[in-house]
Amino acid sequence: MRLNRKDSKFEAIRLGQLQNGLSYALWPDSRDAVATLQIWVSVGSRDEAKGKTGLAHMLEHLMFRGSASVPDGEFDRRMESLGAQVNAATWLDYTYYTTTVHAAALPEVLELEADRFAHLLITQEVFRAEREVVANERRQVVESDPESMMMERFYREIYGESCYGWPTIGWSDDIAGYRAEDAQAFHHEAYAPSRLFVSIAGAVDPSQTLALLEQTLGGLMPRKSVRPEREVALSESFCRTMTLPVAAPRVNLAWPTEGRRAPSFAAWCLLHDLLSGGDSALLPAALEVNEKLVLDINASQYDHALPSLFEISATLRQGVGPERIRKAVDAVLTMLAASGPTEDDMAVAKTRLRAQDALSLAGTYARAEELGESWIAFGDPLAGLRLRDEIVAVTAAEIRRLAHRMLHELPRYELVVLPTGSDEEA
Amino acid sequence: MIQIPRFDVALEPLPGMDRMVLSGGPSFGIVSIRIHFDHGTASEPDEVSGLLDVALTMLDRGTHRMPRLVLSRAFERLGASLGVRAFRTSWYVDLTVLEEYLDQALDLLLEYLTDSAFDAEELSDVLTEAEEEAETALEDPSGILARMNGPVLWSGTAWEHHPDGRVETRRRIKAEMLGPRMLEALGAKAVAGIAAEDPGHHAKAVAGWMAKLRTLVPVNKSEKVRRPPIRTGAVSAARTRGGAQAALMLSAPAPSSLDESWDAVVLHNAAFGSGFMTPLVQRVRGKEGLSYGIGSTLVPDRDESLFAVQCSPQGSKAAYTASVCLDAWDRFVETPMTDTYLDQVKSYYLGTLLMRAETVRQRMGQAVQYAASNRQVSELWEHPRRLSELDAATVGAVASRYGFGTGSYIVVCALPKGISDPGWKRHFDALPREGVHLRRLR
Repeated sequence: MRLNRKDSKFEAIRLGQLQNGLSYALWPDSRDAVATLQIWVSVGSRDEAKGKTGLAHMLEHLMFRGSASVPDGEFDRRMESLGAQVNAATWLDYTYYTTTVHAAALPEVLELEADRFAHLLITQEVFRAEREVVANERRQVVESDPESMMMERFYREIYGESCYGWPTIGWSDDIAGYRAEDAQAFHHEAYAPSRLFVSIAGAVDPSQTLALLEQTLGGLMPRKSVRPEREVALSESFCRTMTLPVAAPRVNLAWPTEGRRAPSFAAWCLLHDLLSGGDSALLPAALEVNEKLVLDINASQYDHALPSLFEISATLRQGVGPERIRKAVDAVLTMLAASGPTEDDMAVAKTRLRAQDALSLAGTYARAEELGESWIAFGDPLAGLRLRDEIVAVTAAEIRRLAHRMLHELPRYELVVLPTGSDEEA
Repeated sequence: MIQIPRFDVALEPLPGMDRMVLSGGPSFGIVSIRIHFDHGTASEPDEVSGLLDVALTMLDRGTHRMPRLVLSRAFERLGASLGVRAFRTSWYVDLTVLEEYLDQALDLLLEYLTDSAFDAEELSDVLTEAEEEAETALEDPSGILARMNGPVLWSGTAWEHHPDGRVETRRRIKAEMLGPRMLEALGAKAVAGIAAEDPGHHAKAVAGWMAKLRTLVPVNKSEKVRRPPIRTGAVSAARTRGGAQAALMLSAPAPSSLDESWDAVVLHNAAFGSGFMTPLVQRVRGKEGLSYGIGSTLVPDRDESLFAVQCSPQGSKAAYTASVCLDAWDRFVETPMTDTYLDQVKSYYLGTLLMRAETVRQRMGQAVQYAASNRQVSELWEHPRRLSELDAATVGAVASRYGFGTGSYIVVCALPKGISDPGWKRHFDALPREGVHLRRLR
């Protein structure tokens, strides 16, 4: 163990690293009824090669389908027999596996986890069936959902051929094309202990849990695995129109941001809340309540590790054209750039965030996720928790500056979606 | 076997017919309140279905003292958020707030619920907006399926209408109807829930709030509407706007949640299709890869519960997938269940229950539901204990009480446009049914 330090604000949280390079964070609380174990892997769709898009997500599926010593179906059976609630997710920068379970079952859960991370076995039969599941998932979650189709196109236009430009689930042709050997090789390459982070939150004893970690995941053989450097190439400003089978037009606007590790990140977070953190926030107040231009409007502050995006998306009311939305959004940003948010706007936004934070950390899953996401994004499990203090310190002048940049300095991306058959169809 | 602990949850009477649930545990400086009213949309006359949903929507439009944005800002200044939702036999309002502002938030909540103010133009706008939102809800197959359930399963009854009504009936709603409807809804007997680190500390404030509410709106005598039996023996389908995937649901009647066999039915369903190890999921997803999402559920009701299998296969494979689900059921009930398998299912299911009761807020929500159904809040741990004591013979025996075995099931499907009419009818011909209906949705 090379590291075992404490943070003054979150004294209960223990951080460390096992000898094989695996990092961990334990957030014990004896008052919890369960514990959540999450294993984060620093590999996501950004690490894939062209022609093999979706492989990280495919591998995530296959991790449930057996190892050299645990036949197909046994992992689920044994986990569920422990009362464990199991899931996994893949995104641009990461893959993670999550299990919520009665704390007494953690030893067997960790044994099963260590086994599949060390000895994953992908048979041809399993691979073929699971590839069908993933193809179905893509058709269900993306191709039958206009919102997902829209975002897939938007990110493709913004990031082009660079690593954030393809969908995490992969292109259909790629899903149909890769082989079991590709997934097995990807597993060997990326699932090395040095690229793993374990977060455990809930009713656990830290010393016993650490000993368990050493006995199980500590046994993974260390090997050299360096995450390849990737760069994101961002498009110049654009304005595109597409048609989809939607009932109401959509307008999506986006601006590039420096990503989660940049000093400006806290200010972007507060700007997000000022614009759409509640019913009385600036965008819904102006466009939904006062002008009745939209059915809904939201801002999103994405927190990717590489250069990221700040987005505003709106579903338009009948008879409202995209141009009116552009003008109305720009009017809000112009007001912010000129005079900044009011003291009341700032105070309310910070209060809203304080309440949301408290609510969001109520469950063990959310606490484990907080630590894991922070490790992926910042390389520090506690950085996300500290970010809350940084947001409180953001000033109105910083918000004015961001609004000015959005209006005058940053590229601006715009995708308008019109209903299929619309008169305005391009 | 997992033991569900005796949580810090208590039920206290309030004056009149109301009651209060206190749920204690880590709450990170937040207090959550739920007021559950024993009255829902199924009691609305057919010609104005959706009235309660509109009345609840109009609450956001402000009060006589505060217009819409002033009201929402007042709540947000306290770190408070609100949620209201109407169901067929109940409705509730949720308030979460930073603990130090609870008293102020409760005052606002009372004003919000009992002093709603809006003009005719605002009502007209809300109704138009709702029509537009209803259209966007039909953009994907699962949204279509959700809207089909009522008209297909409970056709011609009070349960036919989705809680937010239909476009035609909402158009008939007038401003003067909403006040009396809101009073009727607020006058139903209620259960107030508190989730907090120390709920007893806030009990007096919440009980006082309920007393103020009852001064303004006394408890009325609302009639409980009985859920009618679901229609069976048909295939109903509607078109999706695009995409290749279908949404598919096979439903069948299940016993009342008050029936003595209910606990066994719960476990039987869990053994059939609730987890990844179950025969339904293994067959449809694991072996054949037919659908990403697949599972069976029970929707409990005191009159008649609902059993459903839902999945999302390719449109061209929808009928085949339905037949695989039916075959998986047949094979499951034909094979005697072993105690070993049942023990595994029990562990999984009890784990599910434990996770659903993980946070103080979740436990409060469940306890309120139990109290509203006139059951003890101790059901939170007594129901799992009873489940853990059932044996395989008892559980296996309920297969004849519900499910697909009786042939009394209905298939509801949202199909892509690309599947031609003769095509999809032919695909479904393999299924035993009385009729195939292509529905137009509104």
